[in-house]
Amino acid sequence: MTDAILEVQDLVKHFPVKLPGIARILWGGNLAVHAVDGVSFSLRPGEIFGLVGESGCGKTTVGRTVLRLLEPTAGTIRFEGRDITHLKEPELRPLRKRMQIIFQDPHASLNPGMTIGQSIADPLIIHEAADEKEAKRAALEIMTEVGLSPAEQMYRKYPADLSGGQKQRAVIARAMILKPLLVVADEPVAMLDMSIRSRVLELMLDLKRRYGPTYLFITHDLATAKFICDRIAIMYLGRIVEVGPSKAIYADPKHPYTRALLEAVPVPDPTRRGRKVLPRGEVPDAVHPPAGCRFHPRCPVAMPTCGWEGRDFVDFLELRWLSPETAAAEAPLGPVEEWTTAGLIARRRVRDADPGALAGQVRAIVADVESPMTQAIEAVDVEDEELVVRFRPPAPLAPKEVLGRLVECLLY
Amino acid sequence: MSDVVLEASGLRVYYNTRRGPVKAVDGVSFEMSRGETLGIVGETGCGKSTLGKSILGVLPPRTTVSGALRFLGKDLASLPREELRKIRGKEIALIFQDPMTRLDPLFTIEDHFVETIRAHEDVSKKEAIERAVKALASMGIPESRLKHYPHEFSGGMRQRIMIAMSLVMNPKLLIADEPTTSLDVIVEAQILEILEDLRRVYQMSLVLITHNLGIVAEVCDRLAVMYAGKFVELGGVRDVFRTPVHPYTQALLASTIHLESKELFSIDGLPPDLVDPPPACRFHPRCTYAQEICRTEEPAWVEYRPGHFAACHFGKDFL
Repeated sequence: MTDAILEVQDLVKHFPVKLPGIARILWGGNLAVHAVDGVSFSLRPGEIFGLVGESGCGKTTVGRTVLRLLEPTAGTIRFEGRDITHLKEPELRPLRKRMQIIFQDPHASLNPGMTIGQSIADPLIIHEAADEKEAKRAALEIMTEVGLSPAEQMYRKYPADLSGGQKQRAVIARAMILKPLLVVADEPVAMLDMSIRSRVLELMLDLKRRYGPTYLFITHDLATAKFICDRIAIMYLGRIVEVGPSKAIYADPKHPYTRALLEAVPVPDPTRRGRKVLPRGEVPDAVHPPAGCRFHPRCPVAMPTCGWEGRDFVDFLELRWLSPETAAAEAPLGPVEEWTTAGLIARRRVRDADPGALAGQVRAIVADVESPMTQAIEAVDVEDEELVVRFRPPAPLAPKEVLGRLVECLLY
Repeated sequence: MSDVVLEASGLRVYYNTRRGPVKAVDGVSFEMSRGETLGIVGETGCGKSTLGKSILGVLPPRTTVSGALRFLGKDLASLPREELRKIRGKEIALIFQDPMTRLDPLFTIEDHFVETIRAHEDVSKKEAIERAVKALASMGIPESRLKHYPHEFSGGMRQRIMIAMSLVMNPKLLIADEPTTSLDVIVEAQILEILEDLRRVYQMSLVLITHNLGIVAEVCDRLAVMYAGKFVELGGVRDVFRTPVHPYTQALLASTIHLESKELFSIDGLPPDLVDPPPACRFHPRCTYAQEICRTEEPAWVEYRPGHFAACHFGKDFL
């Protein structure tokens, strides 16, 4: 697509984890948080594109990286058709006028030493788009538009004199004063009281009608995204798992993670209570994301081919041993600290136990528990005084077109 | 009701500041029975957290508390400090919004449990650890993590640890102040199910303080809507959601954005300054139905239907 405002391809952003020397040697090099791990999408002119996911899924990192506030590790970013992935700051500067960001915390987004008016007019002055008099006039004008009125009076106030909602209006006014093409809005209403969120969302819609910017709307709140977004991308641990028109996704979510997210949203109707089917556990650590589909350890409909690996087996044992009886019966296999994992393999030093008996016990458990994880186990063997549980490699995973959207799941 | 666990009448909590008293809770009365979940909702600064803290008796110094607060028939205000200490943490427990700030980063989870249990009961360290293991297992946290430090756990796990820690004492009343606000939606749903199970199994009473009406609809039996230090409506969750009597309750319900919202709605204006709240009905400056009487006379607390109360001069019109 050449008419896309923003086109992101295979974007990767890793944050190195600084380790002390010893740990670096032990781990064989430095570790990295895989915040964004191969994300592609494009924004059409004038649309509101939602990036939705839980904390730690990488949505904020995507937002900052596409604006080049963070340096991408790999991938390309095109803004109005131009590759800006490696542009140097002086070349980026004129583009920055056309791309703006609204942060989550309005209290931290305004300089407490500047008046509201000065803050809002500042982008015009920084980009030398207007002299001071013109800038002030433009600021007063946009302040009236965002509802900071009487503008003359508000112009002279300091952030401390404003409520959270008013501050967020000021932040929006400051982002809009340059009439940007692209606005990244990172959780713009999350810090606001429910009673005023709607008004800020309406303001954003209103400004879009007036100036036609394209929004990249980042949120963890599916209900808000439903209201405001034309298309949405659901992110999980650095990947987009489902992307397409909001209407289609909300009406009929295809990825099990999207379904889980929608199911978990509380319904404000006490007559419709019911037990929910929730994914197990929590989002895992992005330093060591799970193999295959990253959602597989929590997925209610996972299959043997989804990416099961050694540590899934150890996690399984740990959960199993929450029951004291099972823990006692399977004591020869424990404790979990005796197990080590590497990729598809989980192993335990046998020491002075009978290796054959241990392997037999593991095989019996595997045969007894029917789950996608146990079905993915290829072999339980004894090798060099070690008990080894080996998994089959996962099936390759790629986004597929399903009913007008892209889904990254082996079900399709 | 014979099974009353908690009873507040005319409870007032004023924070003394240089600008004058901040009337965070200003004449609140209610009862809670055994095994009941009461939701308390309202905007930021309406006094809901102060109310929770006053039940536990953990208010900052220079705070004036008046009115009565009875727990299992005992007036908490007149109890000697020692008695109060025994109740606090043992019979009444509190779960906060941000578990990280409530767990000491220098102590392991085991240390936390041992300290908590031994502060209230004369048991050996070994027995305390055994109880900790059991409580943690019931929250899905394996024994192997007992020696870990708070920062080694995820947000959801920390909140489960906090819950486990308040539960080892088997409290009769649990106060949860925005227990899921810092958590993601799936973990939030998991924690809410845990709270719901606990209440069913242990017949514990739960005060759930939240700004999220969706959560109230999912787990509470009754709901109190708080505005500017006062209850404006109180009733069964189904009644209040179906027939909200107070215009503030109506507005809060309408402004909740949920998956089936058809339009956006917001409440005009801002919550008032609690040093100098508006006279008579405190909601009148933001109320679309306000009349002269709302500015001059304080509305009475009327029982519109059995157990469904509200304070609005025009409550009848909304039935």
